[in-house]
Amino acid sequence: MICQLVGVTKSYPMGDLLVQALRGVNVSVGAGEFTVFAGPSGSGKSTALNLLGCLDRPTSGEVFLDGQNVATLSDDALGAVRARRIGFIFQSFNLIPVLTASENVDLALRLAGVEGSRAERVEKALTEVGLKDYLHRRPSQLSGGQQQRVAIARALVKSPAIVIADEPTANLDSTNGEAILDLMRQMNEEKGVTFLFSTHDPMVMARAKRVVRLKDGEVVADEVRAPS
Amino acid sequence: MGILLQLAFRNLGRNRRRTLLTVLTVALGTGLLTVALSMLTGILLDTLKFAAAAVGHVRVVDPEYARRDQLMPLAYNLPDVAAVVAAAEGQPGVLSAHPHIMMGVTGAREDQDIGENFSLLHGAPIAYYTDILDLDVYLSSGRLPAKDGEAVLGETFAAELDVKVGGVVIVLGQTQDGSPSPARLEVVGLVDLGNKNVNRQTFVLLSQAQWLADLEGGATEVLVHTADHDDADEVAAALRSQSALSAYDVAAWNERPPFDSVGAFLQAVRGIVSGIIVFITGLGVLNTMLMSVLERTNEIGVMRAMGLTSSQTRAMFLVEAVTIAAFGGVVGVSLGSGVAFYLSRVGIHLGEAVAKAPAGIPLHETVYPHASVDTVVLAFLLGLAMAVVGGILPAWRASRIQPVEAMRHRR
Ligand SMILES: Nc1ncnc2c1ncn2[C@@H]1O[C@H](COP(=O)(O)OP(=O)(O)OP(=O)(O)O)[C@@H](O)[C@H]1O
Ligand SMILES: [Mg+2]
Repeated sequence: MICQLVGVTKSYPMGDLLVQALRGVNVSVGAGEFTVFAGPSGSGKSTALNLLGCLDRPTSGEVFLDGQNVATLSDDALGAVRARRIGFIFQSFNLIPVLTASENVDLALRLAGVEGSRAERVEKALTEVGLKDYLHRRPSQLSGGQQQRVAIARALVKSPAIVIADEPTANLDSTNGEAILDLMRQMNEEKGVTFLFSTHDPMVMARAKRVVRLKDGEVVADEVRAPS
Repeated sequence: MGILLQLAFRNLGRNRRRTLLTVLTVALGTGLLTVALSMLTGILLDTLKFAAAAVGHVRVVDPEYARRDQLMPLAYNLPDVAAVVAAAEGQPGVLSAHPHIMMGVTGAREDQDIGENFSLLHGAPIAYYTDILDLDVYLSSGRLPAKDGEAVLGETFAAELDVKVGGVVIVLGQTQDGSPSPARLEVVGLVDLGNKNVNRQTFVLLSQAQWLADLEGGATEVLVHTADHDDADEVAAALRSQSALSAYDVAAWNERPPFDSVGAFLQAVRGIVSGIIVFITGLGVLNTMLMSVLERTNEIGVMRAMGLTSSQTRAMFLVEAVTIAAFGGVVGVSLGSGVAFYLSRVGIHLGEAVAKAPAGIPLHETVYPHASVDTVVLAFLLGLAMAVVGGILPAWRASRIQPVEAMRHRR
């Protein structure tokens, strides 16, 4: 098992009220999974991903990563965990606009404290997502699909324990979305990379190995699909 | 650190107009500072050069005279001034020593009643006037006094008495024991020393003043001059240790009012002026830096998500601010020292304001800025300070951006 939420609640203050985004969620993700969090808007998908990605801390409950409770770590310690163990893919790609494709990927290695052979690793990661010829392009010179491929390379280059992707296809057209998802599924199958998404997109759900359904901050269903 | 530098430099090129604007703000600030500091240094040096010369780099007086300095008490004098001059001139480092008498007088044109017009009357050897005060240079008409009965008047005093060169004035001073003592003086020259207050003076030969004060062979003070006003302290100490001068009060110019405070005063003015310019420029930097932090919120969140620590985030923005300041500083001090150098040639006319300065501080109405390496370096360093002042809040703001910001997406 890679990561786990145990009895996790998360509430956000909204004026005088507290919004209960998660109300006691228990879920765990094992190595090699290709799992989707699904559910209506506001059901708590992003909140759950943020906690599993160590981007935030729960209001109560425990968050485990590789058996370690990370809910109580300091900001900098949590940052170090993210840098080394977790890859992120964001909905709006979120590449650093002033860096080229290879520099964006390299940034992940540098922040993870990787010293040697960075250049080869960067080039390999970009080659694997089909961008061998676009190493020195800035994000503004790449299409949306290409940018998301760079983001995948950036997330994978440091060989993370898990890749977390919040609606990775929402900003792409269906062709590009499918291609991106197939690419991730391929990485999952060939290299055993663990992926965890959130999505509204039936196409994404169709390709998932496991779908966890959330509603009003609670897990309402957890289906493991037969391998496609 | 390498990543931070790279990112900071790349980000500078991102919104070129804004970077340029910030660079120009800092350039303007450092430029202004260079000019303002040069100007203040110019005033200081001018005041020191002129005034330290006028009051003597080192002054030898009777200790009681020193105590009542402001009243210029003629009774506490140096009866055998020649001996004091000889002792002082024998001291290595001393260029010259001149006997000098100062007394307050009232004056009037010969054909009018003595009125309320006061003047500070100086009696000194002609060499003091020509070599030390450069009085001949400041003559606006006529010549220097050549014998007793002749006087040079400052423009203001002459105007008050309504006399010109060739006119005759009666001055009323006093003797050393306090009796009234009038003298009839022919005006042989007028001087413009560059300041209304300073122009209210009268200059006569030493023997004339000795006669007025009933002080034959004596003087109230001996003014000692050294090659440079910076040597004064050392020479004063040496003179003080001479047995021939042990009975007297020996003081360097900077130990006496108003010079014991004028340096500190100008230093304070420099501090205030610099502070204001740094603060205002800092606000300009703050404004643009804050905008770029707000624009980059999402991106900073992404880097935080990838493991950039909050202190690294802060450092990244500070590097950006300091880089901008370094560019702006170079431009600013270059232009500023150019302007200061130009102004050091043509001078800046300060006008009437100077006339209202405290009487003891003989400021000139036209000042010549003094641009030095010290000033340029100081202005540049203050430019960096501007960036830190302006960059610290945005950098702090950036460091507070949470990693979850990465997940919030723009639409
Ligand atoms: N920073 C926040 N401050 C206040 N409320 C928040 C915050 N983030 C999320 N919420 C609230 O928490 C609840 C769950 O939000 P979350 O973003 O996890 O939903 P989601 O399932 O990802 O929705 P969507 O499909 O629209 O992305 C919502 O009611 C949301 O309004
Ligand atoms: Mg969401």
